[in-house]
Amino acid sequence: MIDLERVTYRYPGSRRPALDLFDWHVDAGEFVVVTGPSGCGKSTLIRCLNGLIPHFHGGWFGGRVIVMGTDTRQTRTGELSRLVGFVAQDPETQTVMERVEDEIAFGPENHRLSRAEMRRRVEDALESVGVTSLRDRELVTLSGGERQRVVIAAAMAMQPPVLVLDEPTSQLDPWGAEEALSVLSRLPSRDGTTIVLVEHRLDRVLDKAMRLTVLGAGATIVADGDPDAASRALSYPPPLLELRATVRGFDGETSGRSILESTDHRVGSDWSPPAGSTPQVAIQLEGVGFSYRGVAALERVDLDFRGGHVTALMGRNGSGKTTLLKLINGLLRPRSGRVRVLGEDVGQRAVREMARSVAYAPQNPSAMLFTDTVRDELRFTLRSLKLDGDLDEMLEQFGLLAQAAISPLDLSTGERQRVALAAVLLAPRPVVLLDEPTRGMDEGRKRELGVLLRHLAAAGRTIIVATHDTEFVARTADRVALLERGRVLVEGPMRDVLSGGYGVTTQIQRAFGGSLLFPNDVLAARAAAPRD
Amino acid sequence: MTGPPNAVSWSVWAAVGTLAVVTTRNPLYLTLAGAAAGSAYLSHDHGTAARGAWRLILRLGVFVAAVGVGFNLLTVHTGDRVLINLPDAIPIVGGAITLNALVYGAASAVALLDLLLIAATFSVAVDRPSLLRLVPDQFVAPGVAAVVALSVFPQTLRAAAEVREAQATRGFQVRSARDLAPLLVPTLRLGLEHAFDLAEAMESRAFGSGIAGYRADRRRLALGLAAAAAAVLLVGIDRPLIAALPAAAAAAALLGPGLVRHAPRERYRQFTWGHSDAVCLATTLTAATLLLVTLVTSDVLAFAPYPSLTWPPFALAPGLADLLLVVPAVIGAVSTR
Repeated sequence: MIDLERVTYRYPGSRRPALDLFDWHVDAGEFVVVTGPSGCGKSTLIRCLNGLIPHFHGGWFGGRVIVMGTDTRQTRTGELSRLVGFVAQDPETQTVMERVEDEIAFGPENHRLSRAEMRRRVEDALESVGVTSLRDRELVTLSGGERQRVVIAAAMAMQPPVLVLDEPTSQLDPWGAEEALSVLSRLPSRDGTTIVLVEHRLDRVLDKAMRLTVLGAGATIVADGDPDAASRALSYPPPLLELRATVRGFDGETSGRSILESTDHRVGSDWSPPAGSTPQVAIQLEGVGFSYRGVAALERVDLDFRGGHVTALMGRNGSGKTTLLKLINGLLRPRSGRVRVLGEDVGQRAVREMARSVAYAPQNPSAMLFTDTVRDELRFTLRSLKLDGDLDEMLEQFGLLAQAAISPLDLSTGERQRVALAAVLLAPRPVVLLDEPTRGMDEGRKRELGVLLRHLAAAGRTIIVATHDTEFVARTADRVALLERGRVLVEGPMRDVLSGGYGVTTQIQRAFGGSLLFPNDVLAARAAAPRD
Repeated sequence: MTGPPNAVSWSVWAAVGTLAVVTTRNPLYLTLAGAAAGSAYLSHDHGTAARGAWRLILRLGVFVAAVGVGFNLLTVHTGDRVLINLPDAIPIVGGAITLNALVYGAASAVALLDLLLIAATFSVAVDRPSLLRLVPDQFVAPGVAAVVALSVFPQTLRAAAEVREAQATRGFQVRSARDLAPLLVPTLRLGLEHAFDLAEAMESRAFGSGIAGYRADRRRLALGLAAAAAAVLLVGIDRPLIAALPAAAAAAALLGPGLVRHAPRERYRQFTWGHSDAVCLATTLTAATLLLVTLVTSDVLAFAPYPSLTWPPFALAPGLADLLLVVPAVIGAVSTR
């Protein structure tokens, strides 16, 4: 179905090849997940499959990519779209039309199909991704999950035998991600569609995949094959695969009890419950409400955030997480209620003043990066705040020393995210607000970030992280506040919320139930379980 | 009424509205046209994605118009109604400050705002797909590219807000023009990245692949170009114009209809035509007729406050033409209700 033969590719102006003599093969009807560290060439690889590389991106291209007998060098991307559907990361930036139905019809219309055929395909696509009820909706009114499903439907309406997707769930909440992935997982058996999916967060896709390709630095293939076997090459395999690899007879469906009985050796986890906390309230929200042009974003929110704690803000796309962060750092002013940070009413202080005590990393790192080098980007924060900090230490902590002299714009999404976080966390401030900090980050970097946040919390800082990444929350947070349509659904200790049946939980908890969140919990429960 | 007017009706309305504004500096007609365009904008400003961007543009327009009035007042020292005299020693602004300059500046400002209101109304009232489907087959590629380029602007405005917030939370503040880089660089880059992502998505979904359906008859094209060149040559060597006519006629025939053959292209949505479109189009065409007749038969649209300021003339026909432009606003209000 897909053959890559000694593919070498360099982006325009770059001396370093993103792919170097790369060989790869995908069979028809396979569901292949491609993973690897940030910047290793995953996105480049899948853009080779539909001819965006080299036709759209330019650069230097060698070797051959053959899709169903068609050489992508000889065929333009528009023509290749009959063979390969493409879904990118951000559903916001890949929609062309204004309404759902028109968006799905855009591709078939470009293929110059008859109106009857277009209608048939649009109906099929709407039906197969479960968005028939949204057909007349404006795209701007859709949630992230709904929008990404529409994008997938739009790719499917062109009926390509191959669908390639670049982290399609990275911006979706757990519910939206599950919706999108369940649609994808049905395609190979239903239509025989071949799926190539690039993904960092393997915990939710590997049980659906037939094959896992693990890339290393420089786009070398580290492992390729059955997900169970290939995942052994991962430094941090998803928790269930970790168990599968070490526990005899585990098939993912087995009850918690029988797993406990069959466990024969320990499985590691670097998580440990936080040490004694400092019960000092650093941030207080009292009856806070906010609306955007009359549409309520937050309503009567009462929350306290304490120093020394990492609190995760979770909830669906549009539930009010980002709004809440912006109310704390003064970017937004509450329409009702009051926000106090370190005892002072935020309403009385300018954002610039707040910046001296509140660090904030926005969702999109590109919104703050502008200097010629990564080092200058960090220096800019210190200069603006008239503060001191150790540049090299922070660069090392975020694994950016090697890129210190490179422009942040030449880095991958995950690497840019790390630059933005380093630039924000460099200046020591008592309150740290991070909006989706793990987006585009590989598992190793996520774990390093988690450790760093725990260090900062241990030093008395108040850390608030808005995120959809449940596994990251489980490893890092002390408390979780779950928002639902602008209100606090529940707030409490992390373990209580994640095992409380609110729909946000870890892979282990989904498999075993109860309050078992980590592999170590399973082992502890096993040790405590009476043996017959 | 069957709903808001379609893209054809709106396109004609926008064209006639623009004609009504650009053909006069008479403040009475400009005010009437502005009132009609403003009411049409308000009756169709129903929370579309373009709304936020256009509100900002209109605010910027008001600012630019105000600056324009001040500039005209201070730099044009002509006219019979002198308000004050500034010392000649002051460069540029020194001299008579006249009511004439103020009136002309105000009329130009109103004209600018009228044009912005017409563009804003057109943008918020007409959806992108129906506009795309109006583009003739031969111009699909530039048409889509233009529409997408327009979508980048609102995205860049959103990016500007995002960047301003991100840099403010780093303690950054603008002290001089040299400090603008932290705001401008990421804003422009985000806007371009959005355009790039969108272009990538369109390319991946066969945008432009329809071009393969068009094939020019190369032999006819070559002969046609040769005939056109011969016609130009004959005119160029001072032959009587009539001598060039056969060559020009041959060129027209060869390069005309049938030169480009293309596979038929069907649109997903059929074009609809309702009562509101008929009403809107009829009134707009009536307005256009009234304007054109006025332009040809009288000079009532002309108004110049220099050298002496007089009350602007007013005639019923162009005034009625401006008032007829309010019809889409009425249709919009009725269909909303």
